[in-house]
Amino acid sequence: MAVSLRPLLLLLVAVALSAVSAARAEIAVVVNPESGVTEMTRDQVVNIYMGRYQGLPSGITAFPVDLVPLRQDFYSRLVDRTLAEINSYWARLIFSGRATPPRRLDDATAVLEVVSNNRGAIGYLPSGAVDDSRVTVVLELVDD
Amino acid sequence: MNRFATRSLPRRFCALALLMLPCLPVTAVEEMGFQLGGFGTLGLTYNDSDDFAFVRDSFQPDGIKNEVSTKTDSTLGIQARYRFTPHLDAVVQLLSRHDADGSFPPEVNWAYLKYTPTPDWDLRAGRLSWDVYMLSDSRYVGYSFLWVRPPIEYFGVQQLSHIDGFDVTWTRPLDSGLFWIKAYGGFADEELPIEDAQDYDLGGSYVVGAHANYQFGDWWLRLGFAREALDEAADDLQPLFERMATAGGETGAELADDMRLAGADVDHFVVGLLYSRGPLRLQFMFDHSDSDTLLFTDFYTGYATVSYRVGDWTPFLSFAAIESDRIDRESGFPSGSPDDAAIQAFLRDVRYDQHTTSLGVRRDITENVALKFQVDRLWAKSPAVTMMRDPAPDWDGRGTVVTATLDFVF
Repeated sequence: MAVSLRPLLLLLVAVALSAVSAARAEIAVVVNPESGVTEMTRDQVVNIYMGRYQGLPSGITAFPVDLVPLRQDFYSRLVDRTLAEINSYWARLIFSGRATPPRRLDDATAVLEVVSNNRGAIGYLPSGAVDDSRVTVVLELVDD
Repeated sequence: MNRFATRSLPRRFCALALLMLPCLPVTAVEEMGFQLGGFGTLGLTYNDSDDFAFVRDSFQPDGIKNEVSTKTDSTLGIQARYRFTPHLDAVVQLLSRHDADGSFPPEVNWAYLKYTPTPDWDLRAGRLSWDVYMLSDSRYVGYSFLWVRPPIEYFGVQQLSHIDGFDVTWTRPLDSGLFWIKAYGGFADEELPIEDAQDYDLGGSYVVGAHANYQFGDWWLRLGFAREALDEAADDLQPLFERMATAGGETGAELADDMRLAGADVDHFVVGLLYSRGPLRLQFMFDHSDSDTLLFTDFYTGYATVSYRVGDWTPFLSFAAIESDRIDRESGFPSGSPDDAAIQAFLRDVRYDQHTTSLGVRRDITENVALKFQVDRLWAKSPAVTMMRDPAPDWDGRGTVVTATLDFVF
């Protein structure tokens, strides 16, 4: 009995997983509530995350952080590039001394912690993980 | 791979090394202190021709001829960075490559202090990249580009890899794009290997330059200018110049004067355009070099590369060319005399007329390792001394170079 149920179970799990990935949540770009910024354009976020311009629209220095589990999804939505392309791009900026890559954080809690504690910090989170009392959403990236 | 390229040393080391500055707590946004990273390329280059020795750029003293070699395209770089504050960094980068010494001695590629007081300003002083072309400051970082090596007709004639001086960058968001200007100045500190002669010392030559950039949407445009003011004479040539001035009459004296290196300015007028949208990339660059000396002859050079990524594979096609005018000058010596022949050979050897078509593919294996394969078909209608070594007199100028590289960062 157990033997015949196993394929069915696997199928159910597979269907459930594909449903989850099909309905991927939005990604929210967040800043510190004290940053003086309430919204940003995609170009402004691209400039910061691609190491071109380290400033928030309010004029203060921006310190971007990456959320490692969401990196692939974030850069694919933001600039339509793979992680290998992003790394190759950063290799140029790092080894020519032009810019420093975003600091990498492993989980959403750490992103919330860093962004809510630093005026110039900017990060991204799954929309569901945003805590409105601690960070301000300035842009939402929808899967296209 | 959690961290790319820069890897923090353990906290304990931090505490020991940075007596002045403790490592910041995890809630701090920037990682302070010491970080280490590096890049490298392991290359296998094959030149199928017996008629010329292939070099990657004018700094390589000897090339490869009908052989497979690791020396042409292999490099290793290590970067150490110390971050004093979020606005002040110190960087030292060592690079090992097949260079003017003919070996792989680690050289100090960059060593500078960088101060970023506001997002708009960026000031650096020390040993810096000579940022004359787009991407020229990362031309040894194989992992950062598609080709196995930057197109030789364009990047290979560039005489400097770094300058000892300063640079200043001013950046402003403009409309939906980004505008920036960079100005730099300093002194050269390198030697240019010349075949069968003493290396030409570029040390003491000063360099100034500036470029303006506009990046908007998928485009990046750059217009630039750079000047190298040569300081040293080519000692080996002095006896010849003196003979020209005394025995070659007015014509000889005039030509000798036009061939002098000391005091000559070499100017570059540069245009670069990059386009990147999803998997598609286009690159186009152009440089006109206008010089006061016939030995660094005026030239036009440019290249275009198109690539399209499919999954982990990125095939590309590239075309690069360099040209200069034929130098038609009388030496002042009787035609056919040894002196006349020597002078005419000089003028022939500095002339550029070469192009290369390249077809290749990059395969990204992991997030920081790539494999590349490339075939170059080159045609040197006039083999120039800085573009290759030891061309055979009866060579038809055609050659094929096949290269595979493993490129990585850590």
